[in-house]
Amino acid sequence: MECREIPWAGLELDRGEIYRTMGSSRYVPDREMQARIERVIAEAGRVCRARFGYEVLPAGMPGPRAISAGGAGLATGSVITPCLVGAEYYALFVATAGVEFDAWLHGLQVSGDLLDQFIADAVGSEIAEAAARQMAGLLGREAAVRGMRISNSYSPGYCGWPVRDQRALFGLLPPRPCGVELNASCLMSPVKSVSGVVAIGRSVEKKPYGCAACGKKDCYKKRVST
Amino acid sequence: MANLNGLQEAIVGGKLETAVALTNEAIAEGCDPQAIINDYMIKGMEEIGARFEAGQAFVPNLLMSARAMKGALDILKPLMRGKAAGSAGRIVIGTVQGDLHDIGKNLVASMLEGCGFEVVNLGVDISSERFVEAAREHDAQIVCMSALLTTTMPRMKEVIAAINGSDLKGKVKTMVGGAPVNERFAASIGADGYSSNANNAVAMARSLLGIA
Repeated sequence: MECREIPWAGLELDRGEIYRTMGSSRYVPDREMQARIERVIAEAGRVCRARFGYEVLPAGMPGPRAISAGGAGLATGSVITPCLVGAEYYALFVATAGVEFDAWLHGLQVSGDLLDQFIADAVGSEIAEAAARQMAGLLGREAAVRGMRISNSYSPGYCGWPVRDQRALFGLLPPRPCGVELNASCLMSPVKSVSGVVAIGRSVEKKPYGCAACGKKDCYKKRVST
Repeated sequence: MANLNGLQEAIVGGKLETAVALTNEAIAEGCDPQAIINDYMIKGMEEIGARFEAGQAFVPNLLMSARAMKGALDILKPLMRGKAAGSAGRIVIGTVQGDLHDIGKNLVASMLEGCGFEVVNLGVDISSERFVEAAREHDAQIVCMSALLTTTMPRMKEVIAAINGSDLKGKVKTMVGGAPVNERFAASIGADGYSSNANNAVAMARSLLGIA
């Protein structure tokens, strides 16, 4: 697996997503808060080395609630699995804001202002997501060359895919992919990291993503988005 | 004349420097610290809390208000030593073992502090034993636990069992929160309270301690 570093200037951070993470879909920060957010983003940019990598494996779908990648099973669940139909390959990926960002965030937690920590936390989440979008963009271009399409990306811990399946997913990747590792609780370190699966195939479709595809009422993502 | 209404507005607006300046002015003019807190500052926090519940304010607004409140409280608290009313209660808070998520728990800690509670923030990856030790050491009335993963949620049950298996049983209330936690889970593990957000955590803590 090749670990690719993304130049800071190449990361397209979605401000709207940062605001949403900080508040809700209706939160619009005032000018003073926007300036503060931009300052934190600029500080993050001085330390951040975002990365992503993926491993492409032959696809299988043993049932309506699971997939197999390279012969190994992943319990993707009844919400995500139908979104991966038509896969000939699965790309298993990690994308991360990087250990450098994590160290900076930890420094803020020890000595900084709680508001800056809060903003930096939201910025870090968006950096990891932006890195995942870069990964998907590259994967989509590479698939298109072969006449294939890709699905949206889906991650353990969301939409009914148990977070404990991180262990199986990481088992299919090289040790510490892009510097990311799991603890005993299946929490990734650096914390601001995303892992998951993308389906690749000639008949793969991009199906409704995230909350639109899931009826889970007590989901954190759904709470934030309302 | 002290601009105490301005202080209340500064708390609502999250203006730390203004809140600190107006608090210093009020003290210099001989205002009673307890009256400043009860009649203006807490009212300011209640106002921003009500706006949050009504969807007219957001987490950053709460955070800024709590920061302004704490800045003012830091000035007033030394003037109130020995007065029981100086603290709404003592709370130990931490993220359970195996979990490293910090920010939500810190937000709750900040709101609780802003609303007059004494908060001992243990940090992240806290074992059951450490929660019990800290609650005993600090004579806490409430232990608050946070978890952001389904794999670490069960640790909350272990902490509650450890408290109930110690001399703290019946003396310490427990509160839980975090993204995957809900009221049903909280009830199932025997937690005394659950909160889905930092503002509600204050109301829940007050309720558990019988504070109006």
